[in-house]
Order: sequence, then C-alpha cells, then structure tokens
Amino acid sequence: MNTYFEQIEDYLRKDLTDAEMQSFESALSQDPLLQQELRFQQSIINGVRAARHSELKALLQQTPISAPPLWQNIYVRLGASAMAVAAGIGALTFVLPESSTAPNTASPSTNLVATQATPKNQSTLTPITTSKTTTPKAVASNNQKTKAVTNKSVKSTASPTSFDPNDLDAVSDIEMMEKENTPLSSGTTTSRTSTKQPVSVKTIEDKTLGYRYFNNELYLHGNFSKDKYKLIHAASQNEMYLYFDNQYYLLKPGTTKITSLSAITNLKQIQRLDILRQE
Amino acid sequence: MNDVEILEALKKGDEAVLQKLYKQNYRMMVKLITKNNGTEEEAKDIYQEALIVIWQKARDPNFVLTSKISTYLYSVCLNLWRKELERKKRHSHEEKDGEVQPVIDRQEKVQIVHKCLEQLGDTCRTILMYYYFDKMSMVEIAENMGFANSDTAKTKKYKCKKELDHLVKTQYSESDFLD
Repeated sequence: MNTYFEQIEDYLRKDLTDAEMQSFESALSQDPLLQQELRFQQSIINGVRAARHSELKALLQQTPISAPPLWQNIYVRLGASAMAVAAGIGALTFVLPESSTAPNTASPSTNLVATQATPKNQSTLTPITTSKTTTPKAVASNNQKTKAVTNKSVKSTASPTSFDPNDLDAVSDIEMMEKENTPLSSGTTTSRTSTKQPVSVKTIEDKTLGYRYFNNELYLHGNFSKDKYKLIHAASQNEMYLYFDNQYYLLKPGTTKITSLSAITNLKQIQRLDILRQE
Repeated sequence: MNDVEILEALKKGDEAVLQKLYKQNYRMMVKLITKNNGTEEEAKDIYQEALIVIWQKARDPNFVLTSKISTYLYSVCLNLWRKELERKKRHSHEEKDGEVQPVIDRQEKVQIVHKCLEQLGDTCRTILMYYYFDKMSMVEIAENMGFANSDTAKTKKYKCKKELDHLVKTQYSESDFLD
C-alpha cells in the first residue's frame, strides 16, 4: 500500500510522467483496492483544500473594511484648498501689477474650483485664474495634466459629437479628472474659448443627485459631504461622467435646468469606466 | 505597492498583502455584484472567492498577469458571479427533482477531514494546507514554518499525512467516508 500511497499522491498532484500515468491508470483499472484508496485519498486532499479555503475566507471576512475616509479627506482637502487659495492669491499679488484687477473669489466670471470639503450650500472656492493674461505659477506647475484636459475639453465641447454613452468601446483617449486634489479645470489655459466652457464645478448640498450647467459652470447637486466624487472625462467623445457613491452618471452638456441623475447600468460601460477611473 | 510587488508577495504567501488587496478593491467589486442583482453578502462572498483564485494563481509558475490586478479581479468576479447565477438556476431545478444528495455527501466528507485536521494540531494542519492548497514546495514550507531544511519539512509532511489518514480511517467507517 505504501507504493500505492506514493503513486496516488503523485497521480492526484499530476506529478507523474506520461508513462507513469499510463502505467498507474492501467493498474487502477484492474485493482479495486487501489480504486478505493484513490477515492479515499482524493476525499482527504479535497477536505484539506476545503479547510485551507475556509481559513483564507475567514481571514478576508475578518478584514476590516474602513468606511470612506471622509473626515480624513475633509481635513486634507480643506488644507489643500487653503494652501491653493493662499498660493493663488500670493502668486497673483506677486505677478499682477497694482493696477490690474485683483482676483475676486466671488466673481462669477472667475474660474473656480470646488473642493470636496464643501460646506452645506456653499462651495469652497479656489481662484485659479482671472484672465487670459497671466497664469499663477504655483497653480500652473501644480498639475500640467489638468491643463491638458482643460484644453481638450474646450475643443471638444465646441464641436459636440454624437456618442452612444452605452458604448465605451469607442473610447480611445480618455482622461480622468479626479476631484480629490485636482481641479476639474485649472483655468490655466490662456484660450479665450474657455469662457464658453463649463470649466469649473460647484457642489450644492441636496438630497437628490442632480446637475446643471449654468454660466459656464457645472453645478452638482447631492450629498457630497457623505462621499467623495470624481469626474471622468472621455476626451474623444467629449462626454463627462460623474462617479459618486460607486455609481457612474452621464453629464449631458447643455443641460441648463437641474436634472436628476440616473446611474449607468450597462456592465460593459461600467467596466470600462472602472478601469479608467483607476488609471 | 505596485501590481508586480503585490503579485510577488502573494506568491510568497503573504496573507497581509492579500488582506490589503481585499480592502483596496472592496467597494468596487462589491458594487459590481450588487448592481447585478446580488446581495451585499453574496457580493462579499464572490469577491472573497475571486481573491482566493488570484492567491492560487499567483502560486502557479505558468501564470502571467497581462492586466492590472484590479482588472483581473474584476473579470474573475464577473465570471464567478455568472457561474453562481447559473448554479442558483440549476439548484432550483435540482431541488425540484431531488438531486442534491451528492453535494451533501461531499460536504460531510469535508467536515470529517476538517475535524481530523483540528485534532492533528496547528503544525500538521498548516503543513498539509500549504502542501495541498497553496502548493508550496518543501523548501518553501521549511522557510515558512521555520524548519531546518526541506528534508525536515518532507518528513513532517509525510508523518502528518499518515496521521490524518489514520484518524479518518479509525474514527469513521468506510461507509461514512467512502462511496
């Protein structure tokens, strides 16, 4: 039985050579005791594997899943926002002559960036740029990628293309704008056409998730203090998607009235957006 | 930690990295299932199964990861969930036809082995699990268990397996365990 034992184990682990396998199977077909021992060993090994499988599952089951790090992010983002405001104002003060118009955070013509740490009904607004003339270095150097995204966004919105939002296979050049620390649009572009673009975002605390474009700005309605959100821009198709609370929503350009959002349910599309979001 | 480093750690049997990977992708994967008619519990179960798949795959010397780990996990979750839906459908038919007995038999056998493994003690249990599930070599078992060398691991594994066979055979009759 010892020889059988060794052979059975190797057979079950597929460690036998072709010749050994043939020989073993030949013996197996003629020996009821060997067949019984094989079934026994198979059951034992299956049981050991099942036990380890259960052990690993228990390990994962006990792994604590932290809630979205909301409080942490709020402080981090508040800090980042404050620094961005200070840097922006500082840079503008330094660069602009005294006679120039100083940036006005309350001005609707100013490109603004909403942060995640948005107090109720009021965005924390960071001045990015005031005109086509000057780009504050501190902001410009902060994120070149964002600048590129803005430029693409400007171009594509000017000539809207037809795009089936349920078919993301066509997406070849997609860029993601993450709202954690990266502004949707830094406004650092000097393009004059940027004024025709919804280049900044404001969040408005609301029970219902919705959006609208107004005065070249994107207004997002929802409970954003609960969870962070991200905007994903499909540059090739010039489509904007909102990612919030693990759901994706299509933001149709030109929507001027507050419109509630319906989550995208197309699996293929979700899969692609998931991939893009993580890139 | 990048994907290559994660995969390397999984290959070495680093359970802490497995847990980290679990946490990193939890929300996305669970949402995937719940969006497709799964409950939160089912979603967790499927996601955990997917991680165990990648855990074992990482040990396979022929396994080559051609995408991001998250993408791979995503597709494994999708496939597992599709299979689970098919199984549920099949199961409902089998229940009607009264064909669930073989599954119960299999579970009973697993329970028997589980009880006997508990009696063996931690060292033997771990060695056998590493060998049969994680497919560790004797060198790796020796390293993980702190044995002097692979020969020690081999001898211990042999003795542990013999002891397990003996426990099952003496405590359960052939009719309990064999078909």
